[in-house]
Amino acid sequence: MRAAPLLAPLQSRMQSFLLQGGADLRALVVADDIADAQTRLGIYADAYRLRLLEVLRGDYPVLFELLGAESFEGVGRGYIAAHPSDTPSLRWFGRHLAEHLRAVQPQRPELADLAAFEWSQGEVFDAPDASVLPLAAMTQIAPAAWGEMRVLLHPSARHLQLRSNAAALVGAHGKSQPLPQTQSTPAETWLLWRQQHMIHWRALGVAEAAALDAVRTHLGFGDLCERLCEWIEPEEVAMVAAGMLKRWISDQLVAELEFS
Amino acid sequence: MRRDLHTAAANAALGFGLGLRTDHYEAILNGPTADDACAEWPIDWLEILSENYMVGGGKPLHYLDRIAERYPMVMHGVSLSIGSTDPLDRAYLIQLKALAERVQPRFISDHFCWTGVAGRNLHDLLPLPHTDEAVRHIARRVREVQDFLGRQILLENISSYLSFKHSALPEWEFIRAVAEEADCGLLLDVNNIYVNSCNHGFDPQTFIDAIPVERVQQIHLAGHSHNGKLVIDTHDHPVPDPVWALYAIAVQRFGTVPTMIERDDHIPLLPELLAELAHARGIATTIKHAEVEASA
Repeated sequence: MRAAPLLAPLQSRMQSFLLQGGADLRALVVADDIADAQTRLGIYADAYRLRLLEVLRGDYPVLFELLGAESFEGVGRGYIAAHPSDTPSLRWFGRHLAEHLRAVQPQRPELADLAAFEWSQGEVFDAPDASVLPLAAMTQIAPAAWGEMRVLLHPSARHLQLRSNAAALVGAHGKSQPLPQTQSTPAETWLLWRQQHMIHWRALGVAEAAALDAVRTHLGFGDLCERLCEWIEPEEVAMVAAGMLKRWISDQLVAELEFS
Repeated sequence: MRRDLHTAAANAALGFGLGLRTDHYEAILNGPTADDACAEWPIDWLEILSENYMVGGGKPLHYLDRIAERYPMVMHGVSLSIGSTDPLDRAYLIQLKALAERVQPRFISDHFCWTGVAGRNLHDLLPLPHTDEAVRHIARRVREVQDFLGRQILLENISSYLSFKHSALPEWEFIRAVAEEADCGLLLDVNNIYVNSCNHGFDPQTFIDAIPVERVQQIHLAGHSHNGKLVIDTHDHPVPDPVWALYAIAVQRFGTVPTMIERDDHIPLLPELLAELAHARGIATTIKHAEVEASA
């Protein structure tokens, strides 16, 4: 006669113990002269949190520097409790940290901004590869094709809106310089992308941010120009939009021009 | 049917390898190729952590492709969760298969463990009760994975800090039973055998003697730390003498199985790991020569 199934309830109880610390597993664990059950279970409980804290520290080095080890650990432990991992790779464990900080530290929005910026950098780092258009491609666009043309960005392109100087903090950290004081700023859209293997970023003016928003929503270039009329004189829009496209291509941001 | 045993025979000559770590990308690319392995550069192959390369692109895959052009590769995973009572993660398996198609690894391995249930991943190699139920459960899932991947996988013995009262089998019998029932290969981690022998109070040679020789296709060597009476598998120290001694016993039983040094933390400059790898090669060579002389 086979024994009653044990595996599923045992795993469920051990997971509860590791996630919430509530379940008492001592009766299930062998205790001996080498170590008692609590010590043995404690190794796993400690390792679980330490491993995830280390992952967060790796994903958010500037936030770690800004907060210091103790505060960062406090934030990290709160995050670990609120967002247990649900992906096979630790690569994605920290993806909710900005959202978490917005919820638990609403009085310090610059922390969420910084976390969002650092997470975007990570996404840019290992986003899918794609070939990029050479600048010469612009000269091959038939005049009649511009209106319906759609711009497809490189898969690494990310944008986010910041209301603080997160980019300045990241820049200083990258140069091993002391971090500047965090500051609130007017809302500004930032673009991040990869050139070869280097991560680039820059702030966008409102018109270019709107243009890139049109690109992301797959609007044709004609519609993109119409949007720009909110900020740019109609007779100048075509020239300005073409200038933006030229810069995007030069910056290796454009993977393809689609003509339907 | 015993799959891939002919491949296993071919892979037995693979030699000595290292776990590929980002710190060493440039040194590996600037060094000799596997074809030029020598006393100063004793790397015959490299092992990757599979999950680190389950990304869209960028630097990780760029370096992986360039290094795989120069070295035979092995894939080692930590999230198969073969012992979990959750269904197998089909999306993970698809990613694993796609990576294998890219890398063309000699082996694909994971661990005798579970990593989470109810859709959670605890990112730890958690111990299993050594029961008949677990043997049947894991063997069935290993067969499913092997069918999906179209090849045999290897499972590695884990280090553990607790054992369950329900366990009816010693760890070595549990491993042998799963391997036989699932028809999978084994990745023997000699450090983990040592760690468990300390943590659970058994003779490590008993473990080694119980493992079927033909199943062992790869060996891991690593270091550990001490926490009171418990030994922790931290992979952050050089391989210590007791593990080298156990490795010699393993070589006597299993022959010159492809062997690698596994370092995951406090990663030193490459020459330190190369020296350890040369030491492993030296132990294996000495034992092989002694056996040849004894049989002459």
